[in-house]
Amino acid sequence: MAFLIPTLTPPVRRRRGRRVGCAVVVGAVALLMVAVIGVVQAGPPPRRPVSCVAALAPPPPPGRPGRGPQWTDEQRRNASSIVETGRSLGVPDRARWIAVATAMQESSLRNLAGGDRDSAGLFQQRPSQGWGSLAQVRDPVRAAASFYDRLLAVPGWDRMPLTEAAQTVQRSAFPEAYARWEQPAADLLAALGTARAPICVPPPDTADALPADALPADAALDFARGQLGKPYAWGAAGPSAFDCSGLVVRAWEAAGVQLPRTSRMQATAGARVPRARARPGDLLFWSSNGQVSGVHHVALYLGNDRILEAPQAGSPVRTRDLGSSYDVRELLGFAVRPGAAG
Amino acid sequence: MTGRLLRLVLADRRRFVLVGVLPAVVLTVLAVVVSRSDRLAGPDVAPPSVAPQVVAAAPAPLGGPVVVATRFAQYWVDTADPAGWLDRLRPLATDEFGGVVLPRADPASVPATRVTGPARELPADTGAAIVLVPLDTMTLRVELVDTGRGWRVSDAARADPAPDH
Repeated sequence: MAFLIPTLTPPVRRRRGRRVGCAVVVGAVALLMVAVIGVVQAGPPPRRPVSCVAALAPPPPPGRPGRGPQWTDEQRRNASSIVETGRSLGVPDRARWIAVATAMQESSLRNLAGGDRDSAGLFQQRPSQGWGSLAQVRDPVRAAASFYDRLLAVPGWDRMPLTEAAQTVQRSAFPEAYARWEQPAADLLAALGTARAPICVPPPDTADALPADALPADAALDFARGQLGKPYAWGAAGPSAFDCSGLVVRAWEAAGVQLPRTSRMQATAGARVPRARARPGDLLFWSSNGQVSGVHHVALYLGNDRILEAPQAGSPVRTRDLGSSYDVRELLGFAVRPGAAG
Repeated sequence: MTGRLLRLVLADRRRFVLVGVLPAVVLTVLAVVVSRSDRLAGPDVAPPSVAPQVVAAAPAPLGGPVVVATRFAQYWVDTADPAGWLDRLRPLATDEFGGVVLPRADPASVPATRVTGPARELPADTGAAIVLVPLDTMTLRVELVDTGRGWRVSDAARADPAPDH
């Protein structure tokens, strides 16, 4: 564009033409700069590995039954086969955790002869959708290998919440369904002793337990402050726009901690503390009925009754004081403290 | 060719406005009008109950949780027009469920084709509801909240703990 414009100035009106041309060139340079800044902002965020998942609790000690579903020998054998296939292929622990959770949702870890339409096997893969022959999708080793193959081909799979990574591979009608198997899969991996799920270190009880500069909340808040003024958009999780839970996800991701994608699920992801004892970086929630079932908004606590939030359509990312009538009506009495990256 | 055209358009400010800017403005206005009239022309929906500047918010559905859940289930199993599937479901969903979760669902994988009986409401928190809607192959468990602008679906899942074949 900058190359084109000088030739457009008619030579007969040179004086005015030069002024206009100059203005046009300045405008073009400004536009170019805006475009470059736009490209830089829209580029991928700095790659820091997500080292732990806030919603996961440490598995029960070996030999103890623990919470959640109890698996039969057959189901444990199938899980073992999925994990071992992953190990022989050299896939990371996180992929093995995602694979076991996916098979828990799809088949309850049973090598099913059929399913919806032509789905079959541990992962309910469909021969008609290019997953292999019926015999192949019912072969646990081959089925797991196909799953790993497609999972590792998903760009950024290792930074996605488990349910998003699984959904991208499985393309189901229930995109959130895999999330509830995060903990059972982590516990089963621990029991099998062959892979480790990404569990966060429990957060310290008091701020004094760690030197201030070691708190992961600082990294989360630094990231969030860098987003101030960016527009609100439902379904957006950066880098140029955010919804309330998307901002919180990206902030804690910058601290190496993975949160679920929706405010309702974030309300159960991490240690719960009374709001009066909330620390900077903790999550605060607003609900239409005073319960987690009605949660529809989340913000980062800054301390001193201030919050940082992506508020709603039309209002950019901002900080504000608590205490509005909306807060009095809907703010829940607890805060959630995401765990520390281990 | 393109260069000549550009030169013609850019040589005169009035021509630039007429040829370049005006059509863009007209097209934008048209697009907004069309997309809004699309939303309002949907079947059986109440007039918008929200401020007009909230373009993304759809009209609130009428009725209690059982009515909204049943309508949601009817639209959910109707995948004949996959491109319009999300647009039909979204007005019945909370902003977050409709804006974050539903767009990731694949209508081609909906494992049912019709609602087969009356919906049943389960006990839930005040201001929230859980409704089971029987389908031909499974039961859909629909969670709803009273948003103050009507009951909206906040989650939908398979009622059975896992598929059993």
